[in-house]
Parts: sequence; structure tokens; C-alpha cells
Amino acid sequence: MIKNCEMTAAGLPGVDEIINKAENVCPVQWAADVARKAHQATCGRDVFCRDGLNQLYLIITEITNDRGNVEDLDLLRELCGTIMLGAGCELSYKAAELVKASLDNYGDDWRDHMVKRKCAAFQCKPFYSLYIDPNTCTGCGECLKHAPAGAVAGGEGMIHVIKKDAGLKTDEFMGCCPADAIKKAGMVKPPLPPEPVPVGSFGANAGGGRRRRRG
Amino acid sequence: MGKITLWIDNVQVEAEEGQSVLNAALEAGIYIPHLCSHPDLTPQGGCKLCVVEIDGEAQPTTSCTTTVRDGMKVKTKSETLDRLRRTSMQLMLAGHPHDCTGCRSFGNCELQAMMQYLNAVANAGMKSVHKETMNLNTNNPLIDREMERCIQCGRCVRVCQDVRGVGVLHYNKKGDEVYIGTQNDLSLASSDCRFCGACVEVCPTGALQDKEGVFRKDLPRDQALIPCSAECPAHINIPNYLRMIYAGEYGKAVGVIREKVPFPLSLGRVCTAYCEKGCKRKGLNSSVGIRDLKRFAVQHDAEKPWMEQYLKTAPATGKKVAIIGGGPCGLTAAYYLAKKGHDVTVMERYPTCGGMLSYGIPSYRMPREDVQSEVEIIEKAGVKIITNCEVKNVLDVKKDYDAVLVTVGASDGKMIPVANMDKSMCTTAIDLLRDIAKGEETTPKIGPGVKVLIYGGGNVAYDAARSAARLGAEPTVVCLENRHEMTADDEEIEQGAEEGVKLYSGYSNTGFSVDENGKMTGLNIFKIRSFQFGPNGLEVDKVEGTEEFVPCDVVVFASGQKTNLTAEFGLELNRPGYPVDPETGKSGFKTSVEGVYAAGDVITGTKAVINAIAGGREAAEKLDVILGGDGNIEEHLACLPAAGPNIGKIEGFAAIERNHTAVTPCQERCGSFVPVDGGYSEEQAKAEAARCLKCPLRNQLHKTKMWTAYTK
Repeated sequence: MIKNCEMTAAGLPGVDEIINKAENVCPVQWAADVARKAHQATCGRDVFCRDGLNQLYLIITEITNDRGNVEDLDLLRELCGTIMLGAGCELSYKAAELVKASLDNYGDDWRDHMVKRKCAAFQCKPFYSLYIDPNTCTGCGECLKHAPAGAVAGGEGMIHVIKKDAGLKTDEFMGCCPADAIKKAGMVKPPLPPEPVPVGSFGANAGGGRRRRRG
Repeated sequence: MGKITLWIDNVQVEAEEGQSVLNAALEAGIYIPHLCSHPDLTPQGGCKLCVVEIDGEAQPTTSCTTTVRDGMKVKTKSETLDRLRRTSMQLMLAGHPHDCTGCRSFGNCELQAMMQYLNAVANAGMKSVHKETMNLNTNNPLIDREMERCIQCGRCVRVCQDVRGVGVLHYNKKGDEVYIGTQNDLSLASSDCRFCGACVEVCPTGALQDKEGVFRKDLPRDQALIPCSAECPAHINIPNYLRMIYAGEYGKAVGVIREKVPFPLSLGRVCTAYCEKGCKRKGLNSSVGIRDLKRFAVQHDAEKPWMEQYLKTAPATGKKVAIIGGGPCGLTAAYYLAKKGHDVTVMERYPTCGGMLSYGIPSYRMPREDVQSEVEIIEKAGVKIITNCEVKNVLDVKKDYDAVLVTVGASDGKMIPVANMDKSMCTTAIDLLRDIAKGEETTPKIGPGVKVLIYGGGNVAYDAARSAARLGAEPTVVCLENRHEMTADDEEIEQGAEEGVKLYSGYSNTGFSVDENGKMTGLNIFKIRSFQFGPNGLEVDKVEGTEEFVPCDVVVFASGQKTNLTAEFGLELNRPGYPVDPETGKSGFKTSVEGVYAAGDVITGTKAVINAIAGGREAAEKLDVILGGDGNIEEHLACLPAAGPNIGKIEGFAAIERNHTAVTPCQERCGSFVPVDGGYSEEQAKAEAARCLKCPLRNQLHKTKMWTAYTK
């Protein structure tokens, strides 16, 4: 393909980054980030770069937001292939190649997002929930200060309980606990007290009864 | 440039060296879909619809950006290419409204045609793209921008930058969106746009459109795009002469004007200027001062380079034509018929020619020497003029000529019956102005202190009122029309007011009052909201309690004109006195006598000078054919360089205000018939000519051909 744009792929990660990805990297979220980053750099003159990368980003974002369909995977593969075939610049070619690499290497992870509503890396917000580990919580109350009213229940010396985690999935909240008791879970959460109980009175520390809760 | 041979879809094609594969194919009649490429623009290779496969190359390539090579083998259709094209279409359509029927470009849209050609459906799994930027400065003068329809092909960006050299449109970015816009999202007017319309012309969708009403829809498009020339009854090439004025080539400017009219200076002073009413610039701030520029050009044309050609006549045909009436219509017809080699004699009943230019419009607006200078040129072209020659019966003339053209105009004023009217105290504006023009005393006498009531709201009313003021009288204009409905020019009304002309606009009356001796003392008037002419005559909507009394010594009716023809003239006339063509029963070129024809106001009723001239041209064309000629009166009087498409940027272009001519101060012009309007200075004229939006440049841009125009 004759280049009609001098835009380079500088700033995009190498393909190694996804092939040898760390455990906490979600391949879907990673692909969305790549597509978005590339689209933000586009000069706008080429349909595959301007609209193609944007479309990749929009479709992938639907998946990370729990609105994806399994058919989207075929559409994405097709779109990546078409962009690579017709790309007028290095930028769009590389971005499509990276998205395709993620699809090719982590097809099961992509599929899990839609079929099992699962993000193994706990990166896509709709697919994980937060809880406060009753065995780690010291009842210091720090997390209460970082949460909106009603989102976390608890008091001094009590094991805190997350009531609504909708607005809490932020790095700031995750990092606010001095004891690192705030944790992520998928569809299945460990046993948790339904309401705050005194520190040391629950679970392994207290030998109390096991309860299963659905999140 | 050498020729090159290549094969496109196994068809041998000859191409120019350096040509793109796309153009080579299209010229050979082989269609390759394309959207972002345009015949006048540098290729961008952005829409990907023109992809082709070239033998020996691994990947498809855009044919608009690929140069032909000798022996090249090109394939324009394959499954892969189809996939690329359809994907590209689906990507563009994801951000485009899906309902075409609500779009003004429906049926005339290249994107829509392409959807049909590629059989592309709108969504096909793609996510709809909502553009936050689509509402950025959509409200502009002259141009509608419906950016939700934009597919960012960049044609407008390229035409603005590369062809026009203006460069106000760009690929912009905001957040995650790419959009076409101006720098800092300013309005087009604030970003120094020249409003040439090239962007609208090349837009393949309905994203950029001319505002409704800017161009007429009842004309062929290439004419409608130049509203000034389209509105001019004589179709003077106005943009060309403005361009020559800007270039300082005043002789060439006059040549352009004279290609259509033999009275450029007279028109430059008094033309109704239909052109200015059509001028596209009116939608920006105010129209270009075309009439004043015309006058400027004539008055600054020292060399008259057009003259030699102008006076050249065809070999004598031996045919004799008599023209009765030496007004603008008759003289125009006379000039063109003389040019075609006919022996033309104009018979004028007054001592000088010019018609209303000499005896109707006052000399402070239309200096007589200006008219005579133009009549002289017509005489030089071989037209014989006999003045003081009143034709009583057209048949007396007909026997000595092959054809007679009656162009006597509508030279008599009309009076409207008003209760208690004493005709001995009344006259018409036409009679009054003619008396003044001849230097004779008016009947009834108008002089210092005489209260003159002028009935009418047009320019003729103001000519009478302002002339009366110059004779020392106290004129008052009374008319039915409200101020904004009056047909008189604003400058006439304003200058008249300065000179002491009182105005009652939007008034009807209950008749004159008379004193015990039966003498008229004044008119009883009352304010009206509106009026119309119903089956029982004038109907008015009276405002109660607004009765007023306007004292007057003399009443001047400026309420229309009619012909002075009677049955004695020898032509069949209709009830108002206009000659009729017995075949149609209406007034027209033909009359009831074979070999006698009519043109101008005498068949159209009172119209403007430029209408009379256009009528004279038309009559000359028809008469020349009747006399055995080809009827072609087109002239070529000025050799002009082609208008350059690169117009560049002018800072604050949209806001440049119209230049106004110098007007003689009121104390100097009151009480005298010295010319009122001093015209443009050279500096003003060039600045004014630069305000032109250069509408004809749009016709230089090539029309794109849709796929239906190709067979392969």
C-alpha cells in the first residue's frame, strides 16, 4: 500500500507487550487502549485510520462495558484484517496488528468477557466486584473517608463491609487501605459478614460458620 | 507528454505519462468507485474506494495515488477489493445519518450513489458514531453546514487550501474526534472565508449546502450560480468587469459592459440595479456597489480600446429600418441593426434623443451630456437620427422602409380620479419633468413658495418632488405604500428629505377640500395599515383618528404612465393604448401591421432603462432574422485573462463594508440642478470591486460524474 500519511506508530507498544503480558493485564482492555491511543494520533485523512481505529475502539469498549456480542469477535478480526490490507499509514497498520495479536493469542479471554462475564485480570469494571477481606481489615476506618456516604458500612474496630461498589473501582480507593484489605473478586466472592462485626470475630480468625454470597 | 499503454481489466488503455491509474481508467470509460478524489483536487487516497490490484504487487493500492506505468496490468474488481470498499463505506456510514430522505442532497448525493453501487448497507455490525463536534459553528451566512453528514473526505479542505489558496478549513481534533472545521472553531466569517462556495461545490454529501434562497432554482445551474448577471435583463458579465476594475483595466471593463449595452454611463448613473438585488454578497453584509462601479469604469476609461471594434459594421444588406422613438430601447435596437449592416433611421419627436434619460430623469441625476456622449457613439456606428420628427401615422413611414420598429415608450403620465379634483391645478410627474428638462415653464406654474403635493411613492415621484424643491417650491409626497414598501430608492427618499421633501407614506385620502370659490385648498388624508386593489378598486385598512390635511397649490400625479398612441397612429391598440399582436391578442413584438414591430415600454408598460435596453437587443435579434440576417448580435470587445482560481485570503473579508459615493452637500445642491452623486474615487472603486465574491469561479470546477455515467 502506498503511504498517504507520514504518521508513524511511535508511541504504540510492541507486540511482545501483549504476547508476554503480565497477569494483571486484560487483553481486551489493552486492545481498547491501543486502538484509542492510535486513533487519537490520527491525521484524519485516511478512512481506515480515522474511522477504522475509532470503530475498533468503539466495538472493544462495548465488550469491556458488558455490552459485547460473540459475533463482535469475527467483526473485529475482519476489520483488523481489512485495515492491515488497506492501511495508508504505519500507525493504523500497527494498531490493527496489535489488536489482532491480542485476539489471536487471547481468544478465550475475549470470549470469557461475553460468555462468562469474566475478566480474569479484574480490569474490566462490570466483571469484578470489590470486597474488604475480613481477615485483613483492621477496622481503622480509612476506607470510609474515601467512599461516598452509604457505600461502605463500619465503625472503629469493626470489619468494614462494602455495600455498593459502583463508584469505588478506582485506583485511589483501592490504594487507600493501609492494610491492603480491599480486594477484587469475580463472580464468586469469599465468605463475608453481611454487616460490620468487630475485628477478629469473623471467618478464619473466629472460626464462625461459612456463608456463600452471590455478588 | 508521452503516451503509455496499460491494461485495465484486460482492456488495453492509452494513458498520458504521469496520469493516475484512476483517471486513465475513467477516461477509458472504465468505472472505478471513488469519493475523496475530484477532478480538480490533488488525490488524497483517503476513502479507499478506488483500490485496485496491480500485477506484481502484494497488496491492493489506491488508484488515485498510483501513477500509470507502461505495461501495467490493473484489476479493478475482485473479492478482496470489494471487501475493502464495502468496509470503507460501512466505516464512513457509521457516523452518517441513515435516513437520506430528509436531506436536501437526496438524489444528488455521491455518497448515496456509492451506497447503491456497492450495495452497502448502513450498519453491518458497526457501532453508530455520534459526533460531539457536529454542532460546531453550523450557523453561517450563505453556507449551511450540516456536519453530521460529513464523511471527512477532505475535498473541501483541499479545494479551500490548494485551489483557492484561502485555507480556512482544516482537519481538526477535539477529544477523540476528528472533524472538519476552522481554526479555533471560529465562524466562517471570522476565519477570513471568501465565501466563494467552492467547498459547497465539491462536497459529495449534504454536509455543505448553499442556504435556501441564495441561488434561483428556475435557471440552468451555471447561470443561477452568478446571480448578478442572471438578474440583469441584459445579462452583462458583471463579475468580469468588476475584475477588470480591480485590475485597473478600465477600458476592458467598459468593453465587457458594452458587449451587452450601449448606455454604460447612463446606466452607471440611474440603473435600477437588479444585479445588486441578486448579489450574493447581500447575504453577508451588503451587495457590491455594481452600478456605481459601472459609472466609475466609464468615467476612467481614457483609451476606449473597444471603440474600433464597436464601430465596425457588417457589409450593407440594403435593408432599410425605421425606428420610431429615440429612447434607450429604440437606440439600442438601432445600434445592433446598424452593426448587422442594415440602413437604420431613428425618428425622434423631441430635439434630442435619449427618451426618459433626457426628458424624464432630472439632470441632477442624469446629466444630459452623459446621455448625448452615448448617443453620439451610436450615430458613429452608422445610425441616422432625425430629431423633431413626430410620426403621426406609422403607415406613412412603413411605405419607405423594409421594417419599422415602434419604440415610443410609455410617455404620458396617468392621473387618478380624486374627489373634488380640479384638473387645472393638476399635472403629471412626466409632464412636469419634461417641461423642466426642456427649460420651459411648468403648467401649472411651480415656483418659490408654491405648495406641491406629489401623489406616488416611486422614483418618478421623488424626481418630481426634488425637482420642485429645486425650483423653490414646497413639495410633499403622499403615497399608499408604507415606507419600507415604497419603490423609490432609499437614497432618493433620504436625499429628498434633506432637500425639504415632506413624506406621508402609508396614507390614503378622502378627497380634496375646496374653498368658497371652488378652488382646491388641500388633500384630506388618513393613515392606513394596508391596501389592496380588489374588484371594486382600492380597498384600505384605515387607522381611525389619523386624519390630516395637506395644503397644496399644485398636485402632481406620479401614479403610472401610459403610451401616447391613438388610433390615428395606424396600429390596433388595446384599451390602455398599447399596440396588440392580433394573433395573440396581447402586446408583443408583432403588431397588427405587417412589417411594423414594437419593443420596450410600449409593449411592456413602464419599466427600467435596463429593461428597455434588453428589449431593444431582443427586438434587434428578431428583426435581423426577419431581414435575412442570422440574428446574432453578440460582440467581443475585450480580451480578458482567465479568472484565476487562487483568490487567497483577505483578512476580515466578510466584514468589509460597502463603499458609498460622494454626495454633493445639501446646501450646494439645493436650488440647483448640479449633479448630486460624485461617484467613487479610484481607491473606493478598487476596494469595492474587491468585495465581489467571484461567483463564476464555481463554474470552473468540474462536475463529478456518478457511476451511472459509465458503461464498464
